[in-house]
Amino acid sequence: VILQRLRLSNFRQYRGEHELSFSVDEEKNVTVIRGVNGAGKTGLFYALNWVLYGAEGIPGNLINKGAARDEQLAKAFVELHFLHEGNRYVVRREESITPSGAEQEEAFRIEVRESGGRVREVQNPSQRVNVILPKDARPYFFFNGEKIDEMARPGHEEQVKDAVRSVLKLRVLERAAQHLREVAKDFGKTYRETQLDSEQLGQVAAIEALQNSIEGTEERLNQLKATDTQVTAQLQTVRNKLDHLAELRVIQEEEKALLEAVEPLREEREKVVDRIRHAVSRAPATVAVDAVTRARALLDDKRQRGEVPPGVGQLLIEDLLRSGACICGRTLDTDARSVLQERFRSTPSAALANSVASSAGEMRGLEVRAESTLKELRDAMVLRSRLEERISESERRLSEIHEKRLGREFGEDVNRLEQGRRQLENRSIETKAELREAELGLDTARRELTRARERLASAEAKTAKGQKAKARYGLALGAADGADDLLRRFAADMRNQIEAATDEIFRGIVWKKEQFERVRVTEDYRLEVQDRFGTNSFADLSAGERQVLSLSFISGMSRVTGEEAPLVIDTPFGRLSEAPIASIAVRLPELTKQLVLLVTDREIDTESERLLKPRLGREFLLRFDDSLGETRIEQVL
Amino acid sequence: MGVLDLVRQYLSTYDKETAAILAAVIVEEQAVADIERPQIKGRIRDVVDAQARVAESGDR
Repeated sequence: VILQRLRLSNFRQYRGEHELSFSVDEEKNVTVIRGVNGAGKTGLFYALNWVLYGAEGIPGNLINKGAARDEQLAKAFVELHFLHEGNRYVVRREESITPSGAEQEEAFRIEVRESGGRVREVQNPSQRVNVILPKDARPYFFFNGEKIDEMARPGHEEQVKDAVRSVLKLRVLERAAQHLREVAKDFGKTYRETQLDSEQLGQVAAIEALQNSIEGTEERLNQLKATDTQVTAQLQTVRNKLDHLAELRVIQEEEKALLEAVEPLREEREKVVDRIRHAVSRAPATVAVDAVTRARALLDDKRQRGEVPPGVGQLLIEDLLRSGACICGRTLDTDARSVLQERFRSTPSAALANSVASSAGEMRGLEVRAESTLKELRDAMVLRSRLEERISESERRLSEIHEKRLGREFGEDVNRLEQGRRQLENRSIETKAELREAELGLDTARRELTRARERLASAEAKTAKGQKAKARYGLALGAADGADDLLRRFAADMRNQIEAATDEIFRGIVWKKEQFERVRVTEDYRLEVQDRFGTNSFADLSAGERQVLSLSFISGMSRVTGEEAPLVIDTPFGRLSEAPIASIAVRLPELTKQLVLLVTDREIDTESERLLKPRLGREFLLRFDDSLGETRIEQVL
Repeated sequence: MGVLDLVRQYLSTYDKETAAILAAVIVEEQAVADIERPQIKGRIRDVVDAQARVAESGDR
């Protein structure tokens, strides 16, 4: 922290607005503010303390009495501008008087003006101040020189210890360790709460059993499916065989029927053949039938012409002449009788006529017989042809049946096949029933497995959460142990370094250089000074020596920690004699980045002023107007 | 260089995970405001959780 500017209004003896700028020059890092007793040095010291930390520890009213008297609802403010980590901070605190006459804080805010020009208001100004310049460490950078020796007095160890813890940020490490342990405890609790219980472990076992059961059922199912396929195939084969046998039976029956039908046909054919043979044996007569017919036609022609007398005509004429009457009963007259007689006389002899007539009759009989024989022969041959056709058709069908039967003889018993078919059908039914049962069982097991897995997944998620909590428990606990270890090591190292720095600074400033051998900072942060005889001479130190020891300790801490806190010392040399003042005037500017000294005229003599001058950057004079009771700030350098 | 910068110099002596957690926790503890005290445990829990996630992602 580098203080830049202080503005104040109506604060203590500073009525109206006043302002002073601190030296920010690294070489001339000293700002001296001079004033007589009561001029307002402590008022400025309080202004710095109030704007940062509030009214705690500041006695009396803050608002200028004249303003409070003259102005209705008078207000006071202090505004501090400082640099920190590259940013410019403006801290402002305001106080006002209420209508009842009491003072009350009206505002406290911090603006951060970043290097890029962005301005933002800090949300928690008290906390921010405490981070930048810890309140506990305030006595180490804002202090009264006349009282600083108290730090080195016995009985102030706890105060020193608190301040050191604050300056060294040991409290940050302490809180880190504490909170890490609490977080570890929370993670440990989560871990314990998310362990698998016996029911969840049972769930795991149930899932394993279900998985085994499903695997077994799936295997059984596959076997059953294979069996079903095999049985179905076998059954189909047997059914095909049986179907073929049924077809064969039909063929056999047809064959039998054909054989039964064809045999009579054959017998009949034989008879017809016999008939034909018989007819053929009579066939020679038929050969002469044409000649006979022609002969009979010739005889008939002869007879018509009377060349061959018909025996019957002569007899008839004889009968008619004998009876004297026609065959119609009419009596033959003379003419008729003459005609008949003439006819009777011209007619050949009866023997010839009879012989011709007989021959003609025999010829006629021969013709008739020949026609009969031919007809019989034709009929028999037609019948034989039809029989041959039917027999041939039957034999062709029998031949086809024979062809069909070839290769279709299974040589297996139909009953055996039927028995096999029934067995296979029963086996198929049983297999399919087993399949359905197995599938149902598998489905049920799978559903149960899904539910069990969901329950296990839930348990595993819980377990996973537990495992995560376990890992975090370990991390947090390890970090807590690390924080404790870090705290011990860091505190010990810092104490050793502060001890060395304090020793060096003290022996550089102190004027009785031969008397003091070594400064020690004990583990409980007590300051000890070993004298040349090796004994602790702390109790024998003068107030000035204790002041130097305290300053050395503060400077040592500042140097070791590297904190850029300014030293603002009110009445720094009040109890010191010339020699130590000169020594401090030389060394103190080197021990800090910025030094603000609020001094009386008599605190710094000419020699000390001469020694301080090379480091003096700004100088102000506080002028108190006794008539007004007000102080003005004059810049003299 | 501030005190916490000095503290951080010690972190290299711890294992990587502890050092990462401590560094983050120190920042949280330093930055936390008084009015945010009840929330600090949550923030530190987040720090540990984040580091655990880093470790878990490394495991994967």
